[in-house]
Amino acid sequence: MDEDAFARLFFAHAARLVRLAGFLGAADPEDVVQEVCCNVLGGRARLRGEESDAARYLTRSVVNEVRDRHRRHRVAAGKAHLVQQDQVVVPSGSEDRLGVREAVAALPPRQREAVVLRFWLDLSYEEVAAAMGVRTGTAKSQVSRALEALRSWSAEIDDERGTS
Amino acid sequence: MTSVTDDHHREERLRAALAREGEAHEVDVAALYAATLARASAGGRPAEVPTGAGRRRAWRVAAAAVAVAAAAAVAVVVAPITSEDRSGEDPSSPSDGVEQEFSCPVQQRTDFPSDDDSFLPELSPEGRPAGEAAGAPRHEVVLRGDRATLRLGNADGTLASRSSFERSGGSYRLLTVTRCSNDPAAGSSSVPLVVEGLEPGADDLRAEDVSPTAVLVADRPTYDVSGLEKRTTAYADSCGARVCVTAGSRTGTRTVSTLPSAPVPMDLTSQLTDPDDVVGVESAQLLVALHDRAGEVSEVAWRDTSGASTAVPAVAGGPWQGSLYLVLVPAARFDALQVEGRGGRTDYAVGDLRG
Repeated sequence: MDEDAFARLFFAHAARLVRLAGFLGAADPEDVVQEVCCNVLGGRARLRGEESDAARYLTRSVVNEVRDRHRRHRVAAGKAHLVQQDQVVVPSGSEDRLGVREAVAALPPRQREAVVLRFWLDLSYEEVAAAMGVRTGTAKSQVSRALEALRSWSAEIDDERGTS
Repeated sequence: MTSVTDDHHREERLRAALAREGEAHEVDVAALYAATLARASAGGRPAEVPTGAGRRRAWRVAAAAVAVAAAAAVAVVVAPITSEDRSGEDPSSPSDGVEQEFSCPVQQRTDFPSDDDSFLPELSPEGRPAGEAAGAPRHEVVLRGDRATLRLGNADGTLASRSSFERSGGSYRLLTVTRCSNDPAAGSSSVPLVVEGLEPGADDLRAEDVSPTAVLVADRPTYDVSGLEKRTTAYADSCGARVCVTAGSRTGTRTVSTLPSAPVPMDLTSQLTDPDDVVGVESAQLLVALHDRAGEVSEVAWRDTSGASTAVPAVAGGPWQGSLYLVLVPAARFDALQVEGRGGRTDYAVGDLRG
């Protein structure tokens, strides 16, 4: 891929990809995106077809890269017992935004992926499944479980507002 | 047991919260781009996000990338999954954008449908600001799937309002508006009613625009119905034997109020707002002035709704005869202005103030 085409692709998608990696629990979301984009720029990944295909490819690559890092992290933690845990930074905020990052971070990884892809990126269930590399039915069930798990987060907001 | 409505409510809440959280995560795309290029040229080894000259180069690279895209008649952002419409602004110049977070001290949120129709921003079917939203000094639209966020900004890029929309039947339906608002709970301010550290802008009224003897009595930001900041700058000066208060801007409308010659308090609240913005706006603040030319008044105080009284000092340094008193109070907490004179104390409630 030539540099101009890469630049167009990068500026169109980088911010979204960094935020996606952050939502998925990456300790260094910018590094995840650098890694994925280096593969594209270095020709290790071949992008063909429409821009939307490239967007889907990049989304799936970020999901996979974050998964790989979590996996490596768990292996390292199992050996060293002293690995610093990823910290979830919750910016100051208000209203419903309060605590959503923590609530999503507390979900099992597959549920977290499903709920972020579905409700943050507004992907269809078919697209969520493609990004996760699972069947559509699996994506639906992961979303459903995630919503059930997030029930307490939603209830806390109602309690704070006194609207339950 | 939950209902379909509950599930939908939870999904919408989650969607909105994630959207806000995502927006709160600032990404320096140009710096990241430069770091990615450096990393790729180093064989994939991590590179630091550049600063200084490297960062400036990143901005130039970013601008070049946008120029290339424009020359090729290719939209910079065409992904159907998510798209960020900078509305013609050069994304390599973040100083031209609208800030993500509010810097005004108080915001007001309205969920639609609502009885509050004081500010109804619109998006065109193409996702461009329309109607009064198009008149803001700055705007930025973020399109994400069938959702859109419109940020309107002041000329300096500070965030005035953030509105969310949902695409419905080929148009965008307004969901929420969060905007800067005047603080109804703010404490009282004695004169000068000046916010410390506020530097005069190019359009701000200066003393020399009024008269060489004018005294600055008010200089503070207020917010119109769309959350845009308006600067209120007011000066007191002598008009013969009486006192005039002049407010406005250097290039726009000015209002002049002449205070009564008798020591009767006057409501100058309208001078806190640009005349074009007064209609339909209920001020959260009350500005009251009293001129005691003959020295008949011994003490002025304002009483709040809890019954507590606070003394109002006289404005010093003016060329006028006698004493001038000015006080800015939260309208909802104001009960009365208490004027102690030779004949005893007189209380002036809001309805007793001269307009």
